[in-house]
Amino acid sequence: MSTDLLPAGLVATAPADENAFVHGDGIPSWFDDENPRGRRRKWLGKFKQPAVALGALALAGGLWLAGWQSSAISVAGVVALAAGFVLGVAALRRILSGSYPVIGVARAIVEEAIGTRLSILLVMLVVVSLPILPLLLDPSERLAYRVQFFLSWSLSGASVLLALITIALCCSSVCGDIDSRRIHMSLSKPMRRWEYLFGKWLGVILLDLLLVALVGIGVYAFAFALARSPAADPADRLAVDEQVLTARASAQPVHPRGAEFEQSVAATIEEIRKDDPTTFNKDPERARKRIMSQRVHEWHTVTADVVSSFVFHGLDVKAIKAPVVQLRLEPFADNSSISRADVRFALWLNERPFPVRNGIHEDYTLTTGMVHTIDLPASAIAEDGTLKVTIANRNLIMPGEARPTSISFTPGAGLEVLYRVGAFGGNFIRGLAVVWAKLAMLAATALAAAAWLGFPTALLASFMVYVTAVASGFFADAIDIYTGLDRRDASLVAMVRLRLGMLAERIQKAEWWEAMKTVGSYFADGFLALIPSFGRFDSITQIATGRVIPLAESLSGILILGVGYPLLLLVAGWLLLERRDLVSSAS
Amino acid sequence: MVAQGEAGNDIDIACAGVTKVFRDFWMRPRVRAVENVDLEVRRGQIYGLLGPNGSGKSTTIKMLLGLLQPTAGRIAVLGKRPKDVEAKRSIGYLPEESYLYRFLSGRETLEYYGRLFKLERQARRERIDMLLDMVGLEAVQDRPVGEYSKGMQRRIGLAQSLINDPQLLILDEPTSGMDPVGARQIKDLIATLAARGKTVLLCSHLLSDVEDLCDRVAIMYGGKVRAEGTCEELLQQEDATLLETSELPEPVLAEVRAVLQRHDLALNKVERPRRRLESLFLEIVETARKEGVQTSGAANGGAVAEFLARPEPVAEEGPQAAATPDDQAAVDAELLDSLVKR
Repeated sequence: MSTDLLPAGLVATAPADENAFVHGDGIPSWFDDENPRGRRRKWLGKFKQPAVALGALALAGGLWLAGWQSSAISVAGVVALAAGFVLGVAALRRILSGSYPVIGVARAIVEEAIGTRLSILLVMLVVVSLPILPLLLDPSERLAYRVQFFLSWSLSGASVLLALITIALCCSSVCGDIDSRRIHMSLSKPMRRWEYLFGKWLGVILLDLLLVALVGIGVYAFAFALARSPAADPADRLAVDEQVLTARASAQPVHPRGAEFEQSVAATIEEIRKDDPTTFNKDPERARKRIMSQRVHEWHTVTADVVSSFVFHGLDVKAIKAPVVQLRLEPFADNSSISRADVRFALWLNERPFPVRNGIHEDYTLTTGMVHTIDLPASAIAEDGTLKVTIANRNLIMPGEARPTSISFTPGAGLEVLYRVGAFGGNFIRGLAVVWAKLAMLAATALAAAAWLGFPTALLASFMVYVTAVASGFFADAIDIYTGLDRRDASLVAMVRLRLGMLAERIQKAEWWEAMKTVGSYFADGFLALIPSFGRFDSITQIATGRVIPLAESLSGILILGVGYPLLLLVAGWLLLERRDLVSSAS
Repeated sequence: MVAQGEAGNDIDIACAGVTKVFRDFWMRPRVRAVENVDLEVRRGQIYGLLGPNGSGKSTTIKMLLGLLQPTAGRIAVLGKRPKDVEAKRSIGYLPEESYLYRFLSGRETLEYYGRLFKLERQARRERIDMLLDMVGLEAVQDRPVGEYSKGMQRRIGLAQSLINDPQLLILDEPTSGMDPVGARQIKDLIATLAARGKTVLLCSHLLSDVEDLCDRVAIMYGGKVRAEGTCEELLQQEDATLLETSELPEPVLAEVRAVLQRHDLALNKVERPRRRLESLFLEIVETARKEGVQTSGAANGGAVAEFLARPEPVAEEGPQAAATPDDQAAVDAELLDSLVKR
C-alpha cells in the first residue's frame, strides 16, 4: 500500500516504522494498576471468599459451643458445599484447558453457567437447602423414617433443580448464541457444527457431574449425621442400619409353573373360548395373560383355614452381610367389607414356628393395605439359600360373614424378602451415576431442541420431554382412561388392532369427537414410546428404601440414558443445525 | 490452498452466480437478498464491497463463511467450500458488530477463539499478549467484555479476527464504533497485512476507507453487483482534466484563461485545494498527545503484533502454511474447475 494515499497530516507525524500503530499513553486512571483504589479492590476481591468462609465457620463454632450442634453442622455444611463448588469449578477449568474446539466450547458454557445468575441461584438453593432440610424434620418421628425422608426428598429435590438448571442452561446458551449472533463468530472459525453442539453437551455434563457429586457428598454426610441422632428404640436403630442405610436385594416367591399349572390354565382357556368365542378371538394372547395373572393372584392368596407356603430362592447365605433379613408384606383382606381391616396369621420359617416367645408361637395381626416389615433371623435361611415362609390364616369370622377373611398379597412387591448384600456408599454412588445419566439425556434433549427452535419453544419442548420421562406411566394410564382403552397385558400388535377397530367403530357410529380422541391418542402414544421412562431407573427410591442398585442396572441406565439417547439426540440436533441458516433475512 | 486463476494469479475468493433467497416458515420466497453475484478476489488484494444498507453485502460475507447456504451458485474460499474447516483455519472474520460472550474477560475471549484454532497454549498466550497490546486493551484484559465500551468491544473483536494470523481477512464495517484514531489504526493494519500478501475483503459504508485502501471495489445494490473494478477505473472522470499547481496570481490565471479560450475551452472552476477532515483531526489528536493531554476510554494501540508483522515465511508448516503441491491436490478440483475456468 503506498503511503501516497495516506493523509498528509498522518504521514507527517506517523512513526518511522510503517508497521507500527500510533502510540499513546492515554490510559484512564481506572485502568491503572498503580491506582491505590484499584489495588485495594483487588486485595479485597482476593480475600473476600475465604473471609466469608472463615466468618461462617466461626459462626458454626459459636453455635456448637452454645449447644446447637445441628445448626452448627448445617452452617459448616453450607460452607463446605460452597467451598466444594468453588474448588470443583477450578478443577473443571483445569480439565477444560486443552486447545480443541470441543474443549473451548465446553469451557465457555461452564463459564456461562457460572456467570448466569439463575444457575448460581439454583446452585445456591441446593447448597443451602441440603444442610437445612434435616433441621426441618420432626424429631418425634421415628429415626428410620426421618433418614429415609431426608434421602428421598433431598435427592429428589436436587435432581429436579439440576434438571431445571440443565435444561435452562442448554436452551439459553444455544438460543442465546444464535439470537445474539455469537455463533457467527464461533462457526466462522475451524469448528464443525457437531463440535459446537458436542462441546456444549460436554461442558454441561461435566458441570452436572460436579453438581451431582456435591449433592451426593452433602446428602451422604448429612444422612449419616442425622442417623447418629438418638433412635426411638432398638428396633428403630436396627431399621436405620438394616433397612435404610444399606443395600438390600429382594427375593420374591416363584409360583409353580409346572405341567399341572399349564394344564389348569389351558383348561380354563378352553372354557372361556366356548363361553364367549367372539371376545376371546379378539385377542387370545391377552386372554391367556389375564388367566395366568388371575392364577398367580390366587396363588398369593391364603384362604381361611388354609396353610400356604411361599419359597424364596437364591438367598446367598454367605453374601448376606447382616444378622437379619426383612419380610416385607402388604396384606389385603379379599372378602372383607371393611377397608382397613386387621388380618391375623401365623408364620413358620423353614417349617419352624416364628416368633416363639416364652415357648409360645405368637400370631401376627397387621392392618391391611399397608406395608409392614418383619425382621427375620438370617440364620433361618437354609444352606441351599432357600427360605420357606409358611402362612396360616388365623382370621376370625367377622359379623355377617360366613367364613373368615382370606389374606392376599400383590404378586411381586406385595410379598418379598429383603436382605443386605452390600454397603450404602457403593449403592449411593451407583444411584447418583444414574441421576447424572438422566441429566445427560436432558442436556442433549435441550440442545437438540435449541438447535432448531427459539428459546421459549425449546424450553417448553424440553420441559415437556422431562415431565413425560418422569411421569410416563401416569400418562399411559391417563391416555387409556381418556380414550376408554384398556392396554393392560395387550401386545403391541393387539393394541394397534384394538385402536384401529375402535376408530372404525367410532367413525361408523359418527362419534367424531371420540374418533378424534382415538387419533390423538396415537400421537400421544408415539410420543411416549420415543421418550425413555425415568421410572424404569428410579435410583432415588432405591437409595431411600435401602434397595441395591445392581451394577448391571446402573450401567444399563448410564448406557441408555447417558450415552444412547444423547447420541441420537445430538445427531438429530446436529442435522438440524447443519441445515439451518444462522441468519434471518431481517439481519 | 488457493485456486489458480487463468493468468496464474492465486484466487482466494471465487463466487459464480451466487443467489440467496430467504424463505418464510411455509418456504415461500420472502426476500431475495443476493442475486446472481460473481466475485473474484485475488491473493494479496484489498477488495472493497460497497453498498447501502440491505444491499446484500453482509449476506454475501455470511455465505463466504458458510453461515448461510446459497440458494443458487457456487462459492470457493481459499479453494475450498465455505463450510470446509480447512479453509476456515486461514480466515479471520470481524463481523459488523462484535458478538461476544459478555461474561468472559478480554483475555478469556481470545483464549476461547484461540482454542477453536487449536493453538498450543504457549503460542496462544504469546499471541494474545501481543494482540492485547496491539489493540490497547492490556490494562483491562481481565474485565468482563460486557463491561467494555462499544469501541473496546470492536477492538477485542478485531484481535480475535487476527489470532490465527489469517491469510484471508474478512472485515465487515471494521471501523464502525471506533474513534478516528482507532479507525486510522485499523486502516494501517489492513495496509500492513496487504503488504505481507494477505487478502482482505473489506465491507464498509465509509467510502473514504475503501478509496484509501482497496485495490478493487464492487458496488452492490439490491443484491446485485452494479459496478466492479479498480478505484482508478471506477473514479476516473473521462470528460475532465485537473491540474494542480502552487497558488496562481490573477494575471497568470488570466493568461491561462486566454490559452484555454484559444483552444475553445473554458476554465470551469478555480479553487484552493482542501484537506480531508480525517487528516486534520488526526493531526490535532497527535499534537495533543505530544503535549501530554490525558484522555479516558481505551488506550491507543501498540505496535502491530509481531506475528502479524513479520515477513511471510517461504515455507511454513501448519494450517496457515502457504500452498504446497499436496495442498493443491486437496483443493476441491470440481468446484474450482467450475468457478475458475468459467
